[in-house]
Amino acid sequence: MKFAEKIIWSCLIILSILFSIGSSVLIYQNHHNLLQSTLKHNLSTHEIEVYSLETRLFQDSLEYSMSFGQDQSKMMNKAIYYLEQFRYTSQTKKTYGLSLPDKSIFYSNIDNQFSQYISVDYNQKYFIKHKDHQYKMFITSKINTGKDIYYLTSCYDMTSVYQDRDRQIINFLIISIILYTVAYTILRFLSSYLTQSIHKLNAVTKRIANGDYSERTCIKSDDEIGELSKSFDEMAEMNEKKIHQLEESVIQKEEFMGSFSHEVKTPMTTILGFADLLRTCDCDIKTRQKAAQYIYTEGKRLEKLSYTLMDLLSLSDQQIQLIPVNFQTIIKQLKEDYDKKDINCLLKFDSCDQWVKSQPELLFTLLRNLIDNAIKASKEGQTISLQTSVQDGYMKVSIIDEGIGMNEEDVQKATEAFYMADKSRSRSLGGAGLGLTIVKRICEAHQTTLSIQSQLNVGTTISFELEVLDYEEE
Amino acid sequence: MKILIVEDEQSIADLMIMNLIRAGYQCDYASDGKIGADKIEENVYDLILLDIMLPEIDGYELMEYIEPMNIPVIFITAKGSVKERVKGLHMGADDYLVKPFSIDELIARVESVLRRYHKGMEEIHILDAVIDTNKRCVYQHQQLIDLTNMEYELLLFLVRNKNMALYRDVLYQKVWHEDIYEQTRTLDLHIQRLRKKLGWQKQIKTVYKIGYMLEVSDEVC
Repeated sequence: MKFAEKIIWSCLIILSILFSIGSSVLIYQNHHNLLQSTLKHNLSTHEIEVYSLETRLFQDSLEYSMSFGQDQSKMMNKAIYYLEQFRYTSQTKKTYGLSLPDKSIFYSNIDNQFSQYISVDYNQKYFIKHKDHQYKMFITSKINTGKDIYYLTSCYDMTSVYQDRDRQIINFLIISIILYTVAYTILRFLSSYLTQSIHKLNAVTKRIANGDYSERTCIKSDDEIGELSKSFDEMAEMNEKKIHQLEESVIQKEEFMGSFSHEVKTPMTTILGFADLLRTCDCDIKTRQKAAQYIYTEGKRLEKLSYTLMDLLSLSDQQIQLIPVNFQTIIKQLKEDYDKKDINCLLKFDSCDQWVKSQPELLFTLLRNLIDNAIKASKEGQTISLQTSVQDGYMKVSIIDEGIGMNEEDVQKATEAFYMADKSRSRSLGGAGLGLTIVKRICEAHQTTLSIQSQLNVGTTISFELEVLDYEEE
Repeated sequence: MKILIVEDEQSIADLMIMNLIRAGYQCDYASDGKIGADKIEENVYDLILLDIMLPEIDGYELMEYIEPMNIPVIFITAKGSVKERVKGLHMGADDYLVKPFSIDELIARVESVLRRYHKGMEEIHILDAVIDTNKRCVYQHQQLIDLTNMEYELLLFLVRNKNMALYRDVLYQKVWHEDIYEQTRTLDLHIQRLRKKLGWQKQIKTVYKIGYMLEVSDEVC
């Protein structure tokens, strides 16, 4: 059963129950009041009639006992005459019966089937009897005519009172049927209007399930459905964002894997090719030497790539704990490191005795990667300088070279994995294009961004910021 | 038969050059697209081996330049996805070689592309024999020599690597494409039959501790 129908039927059932109870009470009360007033009216009429009959008969009996003496039948005729008079003057439908104390009935125009109720036994009583859809009220009173005693039984027709009740009931039924039909129609429209937003929610859910993540319900209302749709839209928004992120990371991973496989495939081809040559034929010493040399250098390249990848992986895996690091110590390490190497460029380091929030190994890797890049970009005799400046609790570290520089497009792509501005050149210097990717990751771990300014053939300045700490070595 | 190799990886270029020269081709080398374009301008090549990821001018751009010249091109790249391959072939490349490739595959593809252009060494003249690579037949003094399929393959491999001492198990592996090292008896058997059928008892030499070699003195060749 649909929700709309549930609403309709539950409303109709409640409505019909309450309406019936209300109407029943009303009809019953109406009927009761009418019955009571009719009864009262009939009683008073009866009383008046009895009183007037008694008075007249008493006067008559006085008259008769003087002139005619005792004449019972005449008295009776007189009584009947008066009753006939009453009957014709009265507006209400009524009949009479007269009986004697010995229970004999001497006059009656009451329907025969009710004649049993004309009796002395019912003196000073009233009751209602019904037979064949006819309701009759009977009142019996004693009439004292001086000498004789009669019993007058008035029979009032009460059918109209009961008919009135029945009519009301039928009317009620007809009205209820009409009302229910109207109510059903109204409820139908109302519920379909109310459930319209539910239908919309449902449709949107289905569309989202089918992969259309940008779908929204956009139902604006203050009720629960409005709230639900608002929460639903929020959820859909979150989902869309998450899915978008996932898709992006998948694309990034694919790109990374593509570049990675390219980086691996090239040395692999060389190694396999030369090894195949060596194992197939007994070549001369010169070829053999050349092949072995290639296998060695390409193998080295693979080794270096794997180490760099390991660095990258460990960076993305672990949560990095930042501790106070003396910047001067790191610079000292770098100096020692580069002193051992044979470098054609001039390295200038600013001395800066500050404590920064970082991690010694990472900071070292970060700076070394940047300096390595600068060296690769520089020609013989050019200067590479590491400058520092402290401002607002942050230390800005810049590595400045006078080398070949990059164009704008290269600057934007510089931190992408495996990106090399000048592929053949950096290859020949042993790079795989991962240096700046690592640098970027380390910077992310320090919550700082890497800014690159570069101009072709003028040089490159790469800088980042570190938080300065007030720290005394114990 | 002159082949131009446009490849920025020195090592791979060297590998290809060494093996192509060994297989009897002349090679020219360009380390980027610009040099490649210059060389194509200056010289006439029978085939171009073209890397896609090149500095200066990339492979696809260079391909557009080469296309109207009707020179067969084989793309060589690490991008092995179907989409990339279809793109390359649609641009007019004749074949597609995905890194890492084996040298045998390179040679085979070079040969097949050249054959298609009727430029290839359809007939290989060696010693007193002629090998028709299209019909897969061997003639000696205008006489058809009846060789089995494996014997033909073995002969072709020996001819392609002439004057080189070839290791027995690798020889077996490369001709039969099977990795079972112990079954070199089969190889010995085929070598014996080849010697007998062609009368090359001396030319197909047994090299001590190594394997076999087809010796062709330059004067005869």
